[in-house]
Amino acid sequence: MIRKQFVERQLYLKTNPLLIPLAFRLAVERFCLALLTFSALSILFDVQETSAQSGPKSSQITEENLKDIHVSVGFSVPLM
Amino acid sequence: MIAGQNRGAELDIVREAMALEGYRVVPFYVSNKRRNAEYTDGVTDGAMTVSPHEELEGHYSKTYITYQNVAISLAARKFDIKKIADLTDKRIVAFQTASKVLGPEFSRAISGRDTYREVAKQYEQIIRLYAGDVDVVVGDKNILRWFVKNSEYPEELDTAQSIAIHQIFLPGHKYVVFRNRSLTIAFDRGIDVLRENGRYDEILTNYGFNVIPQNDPS
Repeated sequence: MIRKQFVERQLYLKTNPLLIPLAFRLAVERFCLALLTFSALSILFDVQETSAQSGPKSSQITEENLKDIHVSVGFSVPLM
Repeated sequence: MIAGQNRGAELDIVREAMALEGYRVVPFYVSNKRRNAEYTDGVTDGAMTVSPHEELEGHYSKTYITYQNVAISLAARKFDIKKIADLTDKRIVAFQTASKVLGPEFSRAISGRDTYREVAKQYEQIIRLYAGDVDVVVGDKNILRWFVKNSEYPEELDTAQSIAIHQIFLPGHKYVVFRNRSLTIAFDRGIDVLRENGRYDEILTNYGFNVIPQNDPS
């Protein structure tokens, strides 16, 4: 069945030679679109990572908006 | 150096580093053993004063403080303690988790010894030393000094006895460990800022501690 479809397709392209560059162009376009999407996503994640590395600006931090984190501390640490 | 008042040089450093990153540190005071268990059980987000030997799961920070563990004894006993192996025949009381934290050589020296004890409250270490119940106390020099100078002891205890300090341990670099990697990154960044702007040294100096260089071998 698949072979039959392939043969038919080849035959169709042979009888319509103008379609070959069109198919090639479509393939190139799809490849470029995929590349573009990949690049855009990479930039997006890179920006997020950079943002995490650089941390919040001190002007954005106030005593009220500090986020609580719970930390286990040994008894003697207040003496150190 | 204020016991019971939620303060101390190390705690101030950790607090200020995390505050720079938008976090408020809420400390849960527990024994060293309990500290590791609470963190492992997910009760807390992180644990501080952690040694690499403790092998906790999570993301370790860069080292942010260095402890100087020592052995102390009553000077009158005139012990000749120059290396860890010299502790083998001594009655020792150390802080909790010391057998892990102080490395394999110390572990070997105390292995299988029924004269070795670890206690959660280091105040008890000093009492036992003055009372003559133990030969040697092992702990951080600054913490032990604080207890010797500031604790109130039973009247019958002779606290005027001189103490000998034996520097037999390498400096112990300490870390914080967080389950969440972003907290560790934030902490390291905060510590870098405190070191760069001089606040780190200022905190240690304010509490009367010597600044130990970061590149000290351990």
